[in-house]
Amino acid sequence: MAQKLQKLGIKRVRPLQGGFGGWKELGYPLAEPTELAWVTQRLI
Amino acid sequence: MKSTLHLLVSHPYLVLFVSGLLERAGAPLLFSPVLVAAGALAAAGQMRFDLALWLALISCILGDTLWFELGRRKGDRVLATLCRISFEPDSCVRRSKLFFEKSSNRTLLFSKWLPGVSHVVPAVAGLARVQPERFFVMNVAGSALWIAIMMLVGYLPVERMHVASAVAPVIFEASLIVLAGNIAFKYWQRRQFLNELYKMRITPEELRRLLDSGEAVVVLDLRHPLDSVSDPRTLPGAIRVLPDDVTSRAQTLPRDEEIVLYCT
Repeated sequence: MAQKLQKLGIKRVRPLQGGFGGWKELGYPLAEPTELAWVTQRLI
Repeated sequence: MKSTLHLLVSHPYLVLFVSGLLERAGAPLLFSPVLVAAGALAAAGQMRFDLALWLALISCILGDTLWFELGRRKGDRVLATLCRISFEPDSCVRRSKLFFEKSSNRTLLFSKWLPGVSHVVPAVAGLARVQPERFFVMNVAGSALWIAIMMLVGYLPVERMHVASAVAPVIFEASLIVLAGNIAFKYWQRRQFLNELYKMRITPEELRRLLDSGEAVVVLDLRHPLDSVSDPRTLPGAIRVLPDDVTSRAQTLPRDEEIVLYCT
């Protein structure tokens, strides 16, 4: 996906190593899903 | 190489069962050429068609049931494991979920015809909480159909040519060579993909530093909605976008900010 976006001209795009699971395993903070997240998604 | 092939030809039931089991367990190889070859050997009278079909079916059921149960019990962690052993980690899970979302029954029936997707489907079915009885019935039906047709593809031409005993081992050996070539090609593709990925990726530590320092970072959560079943939370400030929507919305993404993508 990152490669696809780079081909579309978005150069500063990077995939997160380990994904969601990797972030969670390190005990880093997570946010509860909110309505705002879905609203923001529709606005993008 | 030739002696190895001869060894495999002389143990067709073992090769059939083990390759089926390995493929369904997630090993990156194609089982279909082995099934075609088994059909050819059956036409040549060197294997029993019914016994070969049952062995292949049992190997499929064992492998698929293992992933189904792991998907039910472990959820996303299983999909992460499948991604690591798959040669198509960027697309296999996403494609399986898309197929599954459209129709779970149809996906279970016909997924065997989709290399790269089929071995992820049982785990996705487990994750999606499909009833074990329904999974078993649909999976057995789909597997039996696929195995029978693949074996008939090898069986019918050899039976009609009436040169079975001479041709069948050649077809079997050719199938094994195709199998080895497929593995080598997929391995090369996988290495290329990983090299590119390693150059681009950001570590969780780096991302956390960026977020804590207040730098402008856009974080996109590309997980499929099915992933929310096991954990609906997101990274702080992440925006949820369906993977298929990202490219169509690319024009709205900022060019001057760091964009970080993550999936399961």
